[in-house]
Amino acid sequence: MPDSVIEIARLSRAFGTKKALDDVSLSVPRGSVFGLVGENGAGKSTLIKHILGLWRAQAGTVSVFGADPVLQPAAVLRRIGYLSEQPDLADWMRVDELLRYTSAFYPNWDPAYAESLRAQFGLDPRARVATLSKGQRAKLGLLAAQAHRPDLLLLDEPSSGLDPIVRRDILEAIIRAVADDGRTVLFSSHLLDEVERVSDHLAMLHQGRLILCAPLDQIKARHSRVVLRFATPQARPPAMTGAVFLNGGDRHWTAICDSSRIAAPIAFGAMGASIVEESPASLDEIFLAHAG
Amino acid sequence: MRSPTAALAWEIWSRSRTAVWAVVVMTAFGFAQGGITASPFTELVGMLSFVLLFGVFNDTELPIRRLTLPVSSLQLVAVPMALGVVSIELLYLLWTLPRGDSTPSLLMAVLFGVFMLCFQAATWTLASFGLVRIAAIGALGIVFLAIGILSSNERSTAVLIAGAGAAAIFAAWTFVGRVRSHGGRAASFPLRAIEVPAIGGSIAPFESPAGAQAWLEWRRGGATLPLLVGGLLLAIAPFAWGVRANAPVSIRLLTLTLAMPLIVAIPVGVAFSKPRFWSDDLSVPDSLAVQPLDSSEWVAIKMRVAAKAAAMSWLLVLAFVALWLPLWFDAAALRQIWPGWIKASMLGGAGVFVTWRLLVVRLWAGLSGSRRLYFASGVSAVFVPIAALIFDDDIRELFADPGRLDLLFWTLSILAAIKYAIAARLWLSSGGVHRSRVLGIWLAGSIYLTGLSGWQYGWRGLPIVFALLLAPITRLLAAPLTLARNRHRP
Repeated sequence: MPDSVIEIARLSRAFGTKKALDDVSLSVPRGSVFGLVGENGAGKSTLIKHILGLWRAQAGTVSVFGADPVLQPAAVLRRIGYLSEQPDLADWMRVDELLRYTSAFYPNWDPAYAESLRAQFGLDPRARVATLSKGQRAKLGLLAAQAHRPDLLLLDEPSSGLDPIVRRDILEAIIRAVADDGRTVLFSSHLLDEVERVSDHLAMLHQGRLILCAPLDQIKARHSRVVLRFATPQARPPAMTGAVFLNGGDRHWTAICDSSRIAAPIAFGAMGASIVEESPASLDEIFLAHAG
Repeated sequence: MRSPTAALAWEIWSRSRTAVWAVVVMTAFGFAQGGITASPFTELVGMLSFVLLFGVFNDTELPIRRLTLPVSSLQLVAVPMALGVVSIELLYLLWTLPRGDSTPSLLMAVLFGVFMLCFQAATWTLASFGLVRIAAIGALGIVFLAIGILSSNERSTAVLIAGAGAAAIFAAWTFVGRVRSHGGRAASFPLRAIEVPAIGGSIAPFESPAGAQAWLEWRRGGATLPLLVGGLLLAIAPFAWGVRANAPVSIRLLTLTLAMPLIVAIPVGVAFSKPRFWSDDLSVPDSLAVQPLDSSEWVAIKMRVAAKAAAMSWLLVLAFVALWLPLWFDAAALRQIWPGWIKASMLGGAGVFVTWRLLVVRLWAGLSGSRRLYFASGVSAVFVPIAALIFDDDIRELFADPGRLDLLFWTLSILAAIKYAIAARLWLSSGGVHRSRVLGIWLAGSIYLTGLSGWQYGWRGLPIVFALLLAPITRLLAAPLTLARNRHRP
């Protein structure tokens, strides 16, 4: 059994002249909570659709549980729970009908667990899906994605546009999934505080390219925020190998540094700059620095 | 565009400008040719232009955006209705004026105008009813057609019909007003509570994924055919009672009733071939695409649902006929048709197979996600039978000419050979379960139809008939591949 649930190698996809994914390679370890971040149009949903087998790779390969999701959709999808930003649920069904219908596809469906989630989410089993609010639809989608205790839970912007209570439910679902041994969660989000709270691995996409992919602790450990003072005024941002982002003017500049590239203090000293303050960079700052 | 009326009219035009231009071109062609009765071809084009015009005004629901426009409910309703009536009357005049030998009928003009009003009122007020709306519009069409054929006093009927038009305007106006003031269709419309009956409504778990998917397919579109057939039978019943003393009309009505599942299966089959019956979007929705079900199994389920729909529709028709014939069918007519009951029973069996065939033969195009393929398939489904009826004389001439018949034979033979070659290739690439089921059913049905054809018309040339009947199996074998292509987009 491979240690990675998802293996993506050199995946590329273009829509016309626009490159939605450009040579993306990543590996999602079993049992991890893998956060996928990036600005709108960065390629997060496209990547998730490739993992689901809804898009065929134009170049590169996608392997989920060691199988190609396009060639063996039934075998792969049986082990996945999927929730998208706008759950595409049949409006004409009742809540209980939707659950009954969905349960038929998953041999591991746990009726008791489904019922406990339904009660927890406050969903009326006789209510039509069409009459549910956006938050209730998200909860129903989450229930349907989770009740078969999938090996891989895929959440595509699950909490986008939802109130804090529903967002909390979604985060709890992720935590619950992790609590079950060996289950893996991959979720994309704009909300970096959410990602920071629950993820242990992070991948950052920017304009279709994977610019960062590592365990979250490692990413945070190697990025720092450094306030610099130069001896002479700097008319333009000084070129520094270790800094991924620079902001400021005159003698005072703030840099977000990636220590994996260069030992920043040595580099700054060589340029005639002294470090005024150094602190860990927040995920927001790291994201903005890389997506700049 | 300063006035709301102009803006509303512009919206209708811009939404369907291609169809509007097509109607204009067709009508200009018909006018130049000398009107709708100039030739079978102009007749076909004329019919198509009327269908397209109704398509232009097929405003499936009132979008919320339009309900929030700062115009009165009356204006919101009156603008599309007035445009619809003016357009249909103009179209009727342009198609009938050039004939010269007779003037346009007042009753027909009123019928067209009022049917347009009722059509629009039904599309809005029954927007959330899906199947019921289609059945209601179909029944309305039959009623208007029957009035046009049976009416003896043109003027008084026209006045009565015009009254129905006023009622349609009032109903639509009231409905829109209520939706706006109460804040939603669901809350304001009491009929919303009526639902299409659930098949297998209990909440017991499904035995298999295929069972669950079959339930979904049935609820979403499979039930349409039996529901429509049932609705039309209800509409036919009073006419059957009305003409019970008239043997020729009764026999014609009986023939129409027996042909009805086949006729209705043509448009229903076009819609059924799509991933979502009621949607214009041909892509496979994510919620279905992520179900752990193989594409070939999905196609097999759709075919099973189609078989259930065909069988149920014919059962309804047979039950209706079984009541009609002994209870109120004209006795003289019954004596006239009774000797042919064996043949009729055999044809009934063929009817079930052909109905199923009409429901499934376009799956490959509908599931492909290609609009062009789907459109071409749909147009051919609806207009090839109409063209065959209209060009009946030309077809007979063709069959009487051995030279042209030979050419047709060889052309068809080459096409059939190509199809079989493709079928052989698809056979190797399609899933085992799917191909064995399809081949079994298709083979049995084709043998049955061939046998029937031999019994009716003699056994000469039967292998050719069999080869032609069997050839569309290529399309069925292609369906899982086109679905997989749509599901896993390249």
